[in-house]
Amino acid sequence: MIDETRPHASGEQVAVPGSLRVAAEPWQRRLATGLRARLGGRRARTTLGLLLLAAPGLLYIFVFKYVTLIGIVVAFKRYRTVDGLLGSPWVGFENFRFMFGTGAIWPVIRNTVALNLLFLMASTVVSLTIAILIAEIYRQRVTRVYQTTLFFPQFISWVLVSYFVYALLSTEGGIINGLLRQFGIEPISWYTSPQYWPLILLLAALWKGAGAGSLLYLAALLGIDPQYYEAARIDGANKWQEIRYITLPLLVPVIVIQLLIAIGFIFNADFGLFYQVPRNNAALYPVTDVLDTFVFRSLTTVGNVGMAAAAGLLQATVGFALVLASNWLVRRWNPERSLF
Amino acid sequence: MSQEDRKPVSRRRFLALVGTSSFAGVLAACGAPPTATQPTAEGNAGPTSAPAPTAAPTTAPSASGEVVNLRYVFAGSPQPDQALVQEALSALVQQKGLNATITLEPVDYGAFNERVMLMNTGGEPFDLVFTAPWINNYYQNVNNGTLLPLDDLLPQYAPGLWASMPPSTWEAARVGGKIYAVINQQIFPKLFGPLFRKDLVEKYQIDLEAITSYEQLTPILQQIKDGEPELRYVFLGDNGSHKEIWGYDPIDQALGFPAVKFDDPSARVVNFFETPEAVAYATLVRTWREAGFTALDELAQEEREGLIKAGQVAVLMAEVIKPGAEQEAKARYGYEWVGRAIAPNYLTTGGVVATLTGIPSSSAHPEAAMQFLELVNTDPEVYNLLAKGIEGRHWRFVDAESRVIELIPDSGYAPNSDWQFGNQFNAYYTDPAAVGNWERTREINDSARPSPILGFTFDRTPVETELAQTSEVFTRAFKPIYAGDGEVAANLAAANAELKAAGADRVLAEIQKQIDAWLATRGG
Repeated sequence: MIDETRPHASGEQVAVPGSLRVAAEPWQRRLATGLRARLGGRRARTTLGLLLLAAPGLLYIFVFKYVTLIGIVVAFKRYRTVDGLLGSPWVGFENFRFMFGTGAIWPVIRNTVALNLLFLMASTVVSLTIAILIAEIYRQRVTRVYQTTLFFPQFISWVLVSYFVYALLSTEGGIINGLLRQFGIEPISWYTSPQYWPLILLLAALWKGAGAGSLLYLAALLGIDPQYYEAARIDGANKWQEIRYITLPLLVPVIVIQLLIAIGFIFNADFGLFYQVPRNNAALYPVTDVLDTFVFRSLTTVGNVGMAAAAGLLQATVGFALVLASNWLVRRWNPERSLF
Repeated sequence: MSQEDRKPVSRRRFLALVGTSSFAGVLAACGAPPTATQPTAEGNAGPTSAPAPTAAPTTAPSASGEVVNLRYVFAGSPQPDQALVQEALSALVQQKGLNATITLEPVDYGAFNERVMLMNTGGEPFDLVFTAPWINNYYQNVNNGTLLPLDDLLPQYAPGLWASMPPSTWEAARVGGKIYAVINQQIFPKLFGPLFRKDLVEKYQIDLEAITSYEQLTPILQQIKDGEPELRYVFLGDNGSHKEIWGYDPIDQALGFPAVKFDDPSARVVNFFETPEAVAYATLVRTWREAGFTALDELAQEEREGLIKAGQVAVLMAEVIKPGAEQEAKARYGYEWVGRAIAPNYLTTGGVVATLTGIPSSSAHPEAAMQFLELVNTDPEVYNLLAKGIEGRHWRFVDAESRVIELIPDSGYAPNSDWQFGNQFNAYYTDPAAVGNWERTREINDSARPSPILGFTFDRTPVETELAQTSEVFTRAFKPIYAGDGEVAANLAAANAELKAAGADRVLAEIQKQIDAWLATRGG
């Protein structure tokens, strides 16, 4: 019925404007398409055109991602502003030691990875659902209202979100405890009860990010040829079947690329979310302390730039390894779907 | 130390400027009453002895056209009338002989650390910066080489400021033998104690004089709680950070756990949280918590302030009870307050260096910046313009004789942080009741007993890894205990065990080693 393995479907669909999440994505996809075009034996002129199209993105990446790589040396130096990048003395792996000296980091790594995986899965499902639902609405005006409403929280800073959450959860004046009291239920001291926080953080993350996350999927969705749906309807498919057998399979490439990119950041936690929303409450650290907040707390006393760089390098290295590993897995499953 | 080798360019450029400026009038103003000091015309040849190449024209008075701009970065919210004050300040310092304009750059307290750190790492040139062990960390700055050593500049370009404090006091600002920031003279001993709402003290006839320990507060707090059910918080905690209350010198407040007992002349370094005082303190906070004296959730600073202003707080638990503390609290929160110092009167390094102004190593005009510091610290006119604003617009004299002014409400300039700008003893009184407070403060400073390690500063470099680890444990494990959460003895034991695992013993040993070496040099 559908040619799932049509080689260029994915890249072309995704090139629809509207990706607002990670600046690097359009370029990566464009390059992927370009490379595939070359490997697929397309003419060199097409490749050149695509590369030209990618040039501004490439320049951005080069300047802000590659040139700055020199900063990695700071992780291995005792960095002092006055001595400069090259003048500061080398210290080997000394800067990494503070993270592993006590073993306190292991629960933190567990939190980081587990919560990020949870967010990743949940936000993919929710963003997809939102995108599919919005695409099903025919009246354009209404669509825009929904989209804007869902997208809006993305622009609210975590500091403000933390106050929204506090208004809901505050032990004394909080809305939720007020409701609980009305129903005769004992109020809960949310800010000293870690067990609820994975869920609270998940809800906060979804509320803020899912709408924006759905945009990319929506863009991809709108690029699907309507003829597929017409053909399916003629064959008697219902809405659910349309989604199950047309929409989702055609979105798989986008989903996979999104996931691969997100996995690269699995060691990086959203500092705003994990620091502001639990109000930096020590009682909640068992579940809310992630690598970024851990490093922040460790280094506020010593303020050692080298140690901070070491933590960043560790996160990036693990992320890089994870991207390679998951890409390898995807390639084994279906070479067409892999990022590279 | 390489950062003291200033680039010859800046010095030469500076000489062209300073050689022409006459700042002798400034020196004469030292300690003078607030009547305007006339700028004198006599030139000063002071800087010509500088070791830098003197090829630059040091004598040409026509170079006065070149006015340097000094960027002054400090903590506080931007004021609507800042541009006006800036202009007036520039005009005034020029009138006083310093050929400079001043750019005031307040940064909100919450963002101050990060902003300054970014400016430092970015190599952005600025000329004056507020620093302290508690904000924009002084020692961290020194370690990172972001502050200029001032040992040469200070006596040369700010002799009045240099002479305004005894060498023993300046000792406290030294790190590794060098002074990296000037001391903003104010109250030095940290006389922590409770600050009560005055109406409640009167209503419940609380005898403040009789209070000599925090334990004695429990029945008083109970009385207030019972009598004032509409008050939501009768207690706001301090998370166990004020060791002075319990008779300990915190050595370096940011470290969290090391301490030396005030009355221990041998200066033995201990983990504060293993002392009987720390256990008693935690237990006390716990009883207060269980009695419902305190907020159930940990509150952010602005929330606390909001509650205090809304009249829902009866006692501020650990304020510095200095002359003028009551007036300051009134200006900040409304209400009349009355305080009682509980901490013993000791002079600590931390107390002396609580407020400092440094010159960043990125400054292109360190000499001019130092001259500005001389003006701010010795000339009441300059100081009060910076701290209080323009006469007639932001404040007016009520009694010029005794230096009492009245702040004009909503005038558009009220930083309300005298202590941040320089010698607070030059500040005009904003309340007739405060007249004489500076003399009283000076008396307290002079009568304070020295901590056994007054003047010692800890070099963190050898144990930075351990400090990163203990800092992590400190912020995680001890905060809840001193907020009154959970069972004291078991939690404290567990937290101390974690601290040990994080390398606390190595930190304590290193501090002890440095203290012993420091004591030896002093003794010998």
